[in-house]
Amino acid sequence: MKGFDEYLKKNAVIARSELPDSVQKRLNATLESLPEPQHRCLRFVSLKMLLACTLIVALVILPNISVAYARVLESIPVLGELIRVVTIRNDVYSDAMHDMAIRVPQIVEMNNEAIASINQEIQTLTDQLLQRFYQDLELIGDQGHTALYADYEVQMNQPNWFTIKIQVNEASGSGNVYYRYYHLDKRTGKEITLADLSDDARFFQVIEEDIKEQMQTAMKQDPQLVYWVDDPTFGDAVSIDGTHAFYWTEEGDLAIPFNKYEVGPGYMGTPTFIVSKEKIAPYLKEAYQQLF
Amino acid sequence: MSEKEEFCDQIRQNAGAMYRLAYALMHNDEDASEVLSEAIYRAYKNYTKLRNPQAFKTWILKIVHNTAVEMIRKNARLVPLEQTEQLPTTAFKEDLTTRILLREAVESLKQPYRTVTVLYYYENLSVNEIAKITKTHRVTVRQQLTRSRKMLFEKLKEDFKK
Repeated sequence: MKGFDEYLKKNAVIARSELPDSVQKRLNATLESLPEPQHRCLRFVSLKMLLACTLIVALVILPNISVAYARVLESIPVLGELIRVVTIRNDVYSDAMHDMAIRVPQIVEMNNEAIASINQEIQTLTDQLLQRFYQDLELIGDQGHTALYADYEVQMNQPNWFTIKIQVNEASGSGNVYYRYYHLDKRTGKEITLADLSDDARFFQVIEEDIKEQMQTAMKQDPQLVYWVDDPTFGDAVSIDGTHAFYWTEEGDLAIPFNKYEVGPGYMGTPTFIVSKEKIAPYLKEAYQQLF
Repeated sequence: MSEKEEFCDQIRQNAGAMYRLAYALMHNDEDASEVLSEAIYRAYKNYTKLRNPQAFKTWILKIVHNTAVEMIRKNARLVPLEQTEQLPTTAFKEDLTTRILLREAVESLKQPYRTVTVLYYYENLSVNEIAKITKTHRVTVRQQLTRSRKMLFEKLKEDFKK
């Protein structure tokens, strides 16, 4: 074994690999979401007194003498603290005919109703999924295959915005894939749906038309693609309303994801279409014009 | 440079080491990412308590290790399917380079041997530093390294002798 230690050290150094893209991306997002630290030069003044005085000045006096300051105050994030997500459950099951792997997240709550509500929705969804899986397991037994996979991803965690995505793959016979997105506007501490982004009735129509145009262009370029746009059997499947899933891209464009079978046959999977910020800007509420 | 910039800079410099340790413990990128995020938040909260900036690497790796161990204990009753599938078998492909052989050999080690091996050989940490990170005694770390070397030698002796 002489020289083996040197052999290990030499090859371990060579073998050090770069961070995988997904890990690097998450690391960068984590670092970007860190708040600026508060200064700690408060040795000779009672901290409580100083905080109290600062709050009175900031919340009462300053807004009344400065319109500009009042506007700045409005934009200080309510959810300025770090938003963290932990996995509270990691269930797996596997036998010859059935597979299940489900990871359940929980947003670490900070006395915020919206966060509590999202956590409850996620919990309810995953409880239903598991109940269905175990019921099928009992009913079907070894007479058929079933599979359930559910996982999550923090899609965005920026100073003003937080999005978590839940992905579900269910298979019993044929497969189904769908997503749920939950959004928090950190400035207000509220959960946001597509309906909250605009007061203009044309907003959804603009998005629909843009997506249909993209679909038609794509089908012209590749005849293998099939989207149900002016389809002789299914008509127009694209239907956007205030409850439709969405998320922001890093560039500030609006991404509209579709579940499997929502706008096309199963083999088309779960397509996502990007509607540019320039297209939707005229219809967005002022609060969402310069989000990033 | 602001405190935040300084902290982020330190994290980026040590990201590779943090990832390798987290991966050695969690065995998949997804959980390793979660460990890294949580460890970064915890470290940032306590950054001003770090008296010696030179010790940042050991300090952050200790936080990564603690975070990972907590997560493993929380999920102890469950082993993700992906994790069992990833554990390599004892058969190594003939045409792999030494570094891949080494990586597979290290990944096949059980804990705590895998962690001490990664910290010693990949991160060039001393026995004392490893003992601080893993909250064990340096005698224990040396014993674990000795056993780890023996196990690795059995797996890698053919390549070593070339």
